[in-house]
Amino acid sequence: MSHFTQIKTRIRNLDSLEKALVDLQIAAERGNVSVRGYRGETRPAQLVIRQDNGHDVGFVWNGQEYEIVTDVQFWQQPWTVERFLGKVSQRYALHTVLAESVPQGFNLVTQENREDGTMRLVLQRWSA
Amino acid sequence: MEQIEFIVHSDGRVEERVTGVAGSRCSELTRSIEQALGPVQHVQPTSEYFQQSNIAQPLWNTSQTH
Repeated sequence: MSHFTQIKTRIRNLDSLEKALVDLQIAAERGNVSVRGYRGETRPAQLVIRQDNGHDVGFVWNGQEYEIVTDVQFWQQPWTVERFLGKVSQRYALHTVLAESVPQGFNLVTQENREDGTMRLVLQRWSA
Repeated sequence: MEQIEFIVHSDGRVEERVTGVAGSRCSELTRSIEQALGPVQHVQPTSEYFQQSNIAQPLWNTSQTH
């Protein structure tokens, strides 16, 4: 059957997350990294965005997904936290869709950014 | 032609429309994508749900729910 599905994106794959950040021109370090916070305290993370003010933005695995760990008082990213999360999730979704569909023979035939801020992707393959 | 259309919202929510696939293959097709993306919140079968054979349809013949 053909269907129409709504999915809430969760960041669970570091490769796609890294690609999303590259798209947004945000430099990040990956591995066993530490997030610098209040009074020099640190917290372990799997990916970190360094900030000039000595307070970082980290992505920490919580057992189900990567969540952001940061002190919003020292937020230095070009968008608000909410907007940042949306942008990252949007690019993350793009890379996840490609990573899953291209090996199955799908080609990306359309990729457009629409004025309302949504992104439209169309993938096709010939029926087996 | 099997086609999947994705609308990725600015907050990361994804809408997915599948066309050109009849029968159970459709769910297999997108299962891995859905598993990789996150929890499915809503599924609505389109008109092709009632077709028995694999007949491709133009995308915009599918029902629009949003």
